Amino acid sequence: MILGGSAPPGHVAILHQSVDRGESLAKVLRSAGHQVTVVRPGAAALPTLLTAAPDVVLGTLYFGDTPIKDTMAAARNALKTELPLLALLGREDADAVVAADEVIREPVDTGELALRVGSLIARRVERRALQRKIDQLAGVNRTSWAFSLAGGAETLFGQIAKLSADALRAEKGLVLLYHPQRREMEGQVLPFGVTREQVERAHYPVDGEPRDRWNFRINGPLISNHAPSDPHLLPEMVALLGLRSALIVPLTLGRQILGLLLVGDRAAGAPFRDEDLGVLQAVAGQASVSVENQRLHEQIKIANARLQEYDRMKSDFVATIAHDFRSPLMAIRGFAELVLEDADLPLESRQEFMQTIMDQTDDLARLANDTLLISRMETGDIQYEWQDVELAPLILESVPMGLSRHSVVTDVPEGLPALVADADRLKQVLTNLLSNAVKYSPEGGAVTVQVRERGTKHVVIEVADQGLGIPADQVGRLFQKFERVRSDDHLRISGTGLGLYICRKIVEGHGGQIWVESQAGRGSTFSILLPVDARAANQDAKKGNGTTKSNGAARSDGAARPV
Amino acid sequence: MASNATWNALSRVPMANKKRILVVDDHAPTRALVRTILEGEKYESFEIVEAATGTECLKAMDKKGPFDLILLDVNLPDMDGYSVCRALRTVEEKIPIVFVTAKGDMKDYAAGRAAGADSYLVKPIARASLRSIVGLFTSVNRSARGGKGEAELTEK
Repeated sequence: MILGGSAPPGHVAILHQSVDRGESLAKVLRSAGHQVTVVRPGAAALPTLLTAAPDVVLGTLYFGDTPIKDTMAAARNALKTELPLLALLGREDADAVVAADEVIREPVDTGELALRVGSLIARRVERRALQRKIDQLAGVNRTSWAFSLAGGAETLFGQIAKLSADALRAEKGLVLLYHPQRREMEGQVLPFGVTREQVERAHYPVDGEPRDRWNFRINGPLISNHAPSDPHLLPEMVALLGLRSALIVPLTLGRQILGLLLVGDRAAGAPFRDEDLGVLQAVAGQASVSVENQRLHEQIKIANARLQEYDRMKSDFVATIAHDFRSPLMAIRGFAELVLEDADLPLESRQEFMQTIMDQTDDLARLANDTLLISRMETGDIQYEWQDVELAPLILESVPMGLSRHSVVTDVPEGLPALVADADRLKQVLTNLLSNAVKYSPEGGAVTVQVRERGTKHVVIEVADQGLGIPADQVGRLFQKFERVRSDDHLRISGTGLGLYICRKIVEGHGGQIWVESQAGRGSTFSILLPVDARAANQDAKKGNGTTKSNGAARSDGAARPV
Repeated sequence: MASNATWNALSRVPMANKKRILVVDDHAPTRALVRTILEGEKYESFEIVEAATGTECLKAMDKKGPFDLILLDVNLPDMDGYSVCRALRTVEEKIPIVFVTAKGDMKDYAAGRAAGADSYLVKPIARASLRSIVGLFTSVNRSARGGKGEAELTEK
């Protein structure tokens, strides 16, 4: 049995044919805790009723000269609500005459009256809450198609902020995103109801907070209707945004927290309620997907730009290579023409020309190999064949042929451990360095190859010459593609600028480093630091925890050894 | 041109009719090829001076000139041939400059003309075309410094 007194109190309007009887019924209802307006018949009746905007009308079949159903229709129409009517009928009145929600007959039992009125008010309150929820959900539903990625991040965050605030009738709305490196939530522009400057200073640290501070990752959403004194909230943040009240829900994707969605300061100082939480969470769910899409969208844009850059680099590479192929081809063709056309060519000249043709053909072949190798390295297509390598014989095999003005001295200690390396590639590096040492020492001189153990896990191979040396300001570029020393003495000697780049790539592929120390006019020393087990080092580097990544950085005068 | 430089040049050239050609190319075998072709000419006598870079070219112009013709590669390691050509033109307006390059389209031709070159020779150099263009620009009808009038003839 539901008692009238247990129902929520409401506002009742009484439209009774007899004002006195109306007043006596009013007394009963007032004693049950309701607010009652007794409306008098006449021209002022409808305006009075509309001003009162009651939860329930208690009325007799006729009120003044008008049937109660007409008065009700006018009131319902004006108030745009389903204003319920409790019809008070005489003993002989027929139910059918009046479209009432409830009917009570004379003589009225006061207990029954209170009960009927109470239940009507309860239904009304319930219906109103339901309607509010429907309105809010309709708002959320709007958001599902309203978040557009077309305008970029600012537009998206602006849309989310505004729609969240609108759905909850709040004055402020803001998206904060989690920044994994800085470990804090950061306010995103555009905000709603606060300025861009305020938001750009809005940071919400995630770690190292006082114990009272709310942890959204663990505790979920938060309603705070007294924000300035709420220990759960960061005071700086509350002050910065001037928050009186706030409703904050996390933006999540799976178990990952993307950020926070905050609305603040409900219109007219009203509080946020538990039922609002569901609404904001629905918005947050939708927003999370959009925010994640936005992030992916940005990533794709970046990846796309990078691809275009690669494409451009590739074109540049092809253009440069094409030019480098043409020069030897042209010399080959020119000298072949001379030999072919001139039957009287002295034997000595003929041999000289044929030698040039041979040399240029070798250059072309080497260029083709280098190009292919670089192309493989850059697509990550290169496979190293790890095997045990004895350094001493490998170095001897790498010494170039036909040295007349140079002497090569090797210094490899006894008992050096065998390396695990790719013998062919390593030989390529040593050949390259030794050829350079000879090539760029036009006056001749000694070329020294020295091997030393460094600790138990590394060896250092040094190739030193007494040649042209490298000006201090040019050392840094040398290990880049197509870079050569820009001095007349160097440039007179032919080269493609690919050799040291390939050396660097191979050494890095072995988990090692390469660098150079030099003094212009005195010679250069190229050094390679190699792990004894390159296979293991290479795999470490692939896992991304390698610390031996070298960019060929070096200085020319001091002992610039990377550690 | 300073008279001093002319005197220097005369004192260095043993034969009055020996044409001096500056060959600028970073690829040594290409320079050797041009030298071989031109030094092998039967009815003309050429003296070839080589430069491997733009800087060397400008230095040679200053120290080893004057020249009757400059054969200039576009793709030099230190600076591009067009810049070298413009720099040459600031010190010597009339000397014939012929670009020798692998790039053979009209855009490069126009760039060469704009930089002040007289003609354009596309690689690979055939002996005949090198001979004819060198012959044209160093012919006896022209003074050693060349005349703008004759240079115009080659534009067709």
